[in-house]
Amino acid sequence: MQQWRPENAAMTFDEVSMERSKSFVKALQELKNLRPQLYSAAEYCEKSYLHNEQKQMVLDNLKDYAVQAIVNAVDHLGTVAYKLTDLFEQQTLDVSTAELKISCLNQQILTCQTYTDKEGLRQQRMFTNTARHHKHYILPDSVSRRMQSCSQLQIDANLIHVQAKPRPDPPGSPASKTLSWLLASETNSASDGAPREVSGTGDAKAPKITSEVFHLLNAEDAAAPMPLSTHLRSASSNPTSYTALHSFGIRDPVEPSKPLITFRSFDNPGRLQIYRPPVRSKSLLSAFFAKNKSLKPRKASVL
Amino acid sequence: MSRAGGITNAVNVGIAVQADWENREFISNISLNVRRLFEFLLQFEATTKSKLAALNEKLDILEHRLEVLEVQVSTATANPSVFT
Repeated sequence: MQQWRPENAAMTFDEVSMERSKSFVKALQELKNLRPQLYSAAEYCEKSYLHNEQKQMVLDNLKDYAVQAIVNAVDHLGTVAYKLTDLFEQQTLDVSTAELKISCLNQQILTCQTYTDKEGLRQQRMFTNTARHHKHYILPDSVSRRMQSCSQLQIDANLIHVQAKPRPDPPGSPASKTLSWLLASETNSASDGAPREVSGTGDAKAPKITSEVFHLLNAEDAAAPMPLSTHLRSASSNPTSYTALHSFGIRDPVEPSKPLITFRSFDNPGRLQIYRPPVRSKSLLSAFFAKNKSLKPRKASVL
Repeated sequence: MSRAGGITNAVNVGIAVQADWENREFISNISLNVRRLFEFLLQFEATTKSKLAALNEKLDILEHRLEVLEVQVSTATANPSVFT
């Protein structure tokens, strides 16, 4: 029979709350009305006890009325207390519901704020987006290839390779040489003309060097025949023979502690070539001593 | 005769005393109950006061939160371009 509609439910809820409030107010009003009733009853009992002859009957009636009055008062107080507690609980429930709704609203607004902040940040990022790229993606082709070749050259230089062959030019490179090609070509040209580091090539070096040495020695031969050490000492003092001495790979007699490994020839003074001292061969020494022996009879003949 | 009158007086006094004692007992009972009613009223008043104070504080907090929400919503409605 009862049709449950949300509108009626809302109205019923309000009516129930109104009813509760009304009943509480009514109970409170009745409790308040008890006071004059008790006062009037007390005055009536006093007058009747004083003016009535049957005092015992009045007293008994008074006792009964007092008991009933107290019971009535307790009943009223209990009703008021119950109605007040019920009303308080209803109000607490309403406050809790409102608190939940406010929390929901707060969360919704916080979500909207977070969304707007994120959107703003996203838009700002779109405008100020600076991508980072590697150099070889943003530099021009020639510059990027030179950079590549330079980096490759550094890698090659770190390795322990004396002979650096010139790398073939990349297919698209211009005829004008790149840095790596230039450096490689310089090293190769120097390595072609200079004495090799391998000991086996000492013989190849020896004739060239000996020619220079004997050239110098022949110039001094006329003075007096001297042993090899004295020759070397004189050669070391002579700057012209110093380089030859260095090229021969012999330790400097003045400074024997320093091994000589760098070669700076007069043919190419600008170039610094690296080679290891060649192994002394018998032929060289024998040629040297043979020359020395040949000098002695000359001297004798001169004198 | 006088002896009978004396005994009657003693009985009357006894009855009166007993009645008096009963009345006093009745009065004490009534007063005790009234005091208990008074104590209940005091306790009820203290409990109701504390509950109402807590509810009042809760309502104040909710009122402040509502004010903040109202300001936020008014700010949002004032700048609708932010949400477009």
